[in-house]
Amino acid sequence: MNYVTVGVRQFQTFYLLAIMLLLQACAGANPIAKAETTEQRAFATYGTFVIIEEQAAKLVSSGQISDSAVRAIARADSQVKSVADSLLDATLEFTVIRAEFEAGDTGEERFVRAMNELNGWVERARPLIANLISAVKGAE
Amino acid sequence: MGIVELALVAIKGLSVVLNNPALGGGSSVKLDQASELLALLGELLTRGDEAHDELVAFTKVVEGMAAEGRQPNKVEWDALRGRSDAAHSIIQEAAAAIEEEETEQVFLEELTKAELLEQAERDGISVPASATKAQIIELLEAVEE
Repeated sequence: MNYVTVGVRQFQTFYLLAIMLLLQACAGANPIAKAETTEQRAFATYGTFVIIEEQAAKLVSSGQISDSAVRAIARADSQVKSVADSLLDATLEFTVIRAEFEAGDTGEERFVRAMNELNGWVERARPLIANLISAVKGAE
Repeated sequence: MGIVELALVAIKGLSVVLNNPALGGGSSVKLDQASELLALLGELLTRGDEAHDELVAFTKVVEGMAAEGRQPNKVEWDALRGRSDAAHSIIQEAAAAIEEEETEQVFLEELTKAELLEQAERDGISVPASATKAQIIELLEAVEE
């Protein structure tokens, strides 16, 4: 493993660690803890990611970090965004299936499968550090 | 929790990562890389007030959603995705600009002094006769910036 790979992993870790630390440190600012349904949890997770991503954007625009740091953040951002966007897509798909289920247009099995799939995404996204590292390891 | 305590929590958490090979840390982590990470984290925390306020506001949105027993709607999802896409673009464009700058630098370094002088002439840059290759590159880059 070269230092570039190590650097990318560190920034992925850093990036997601920041989310978890913020959530841990700010008891009054934990959207995920306030969510009660799967869709709300997904929304809270994605929203938290967006807030941190915007902070990362400000950081790279600040001109106060090295070029290598900007590159590493950009790589980490790409990886995190793809996980987060998959979560978002799964939620939107689930919303449609739930509406169909409530209207009696689809069976319970499909609804439960979609809910399980979404719960799976949420569970993978919530411990974001472990999730992303696993995704990177799985891709190797 | 104040910013100092928050920073301590953050650094403590980061040190766990840096010392754990399973999390991408461990003996292969160079001290300067670790310092850079800490500096970055510090930078993030310094700007953390704004993020904290946003997080508090967003928590209230989610809390309200839960109290009303409603699910996030498409408009709310689209708004978040739009913000993410915008931030993503800023980050990726910053990285692309660095990449481009480095590519240009490599391109210029590969040119001979005569070729650099031709390039300078085309760009309308006046180059002293005694200028070295490195100085001509500097002049070309300065004009581009």
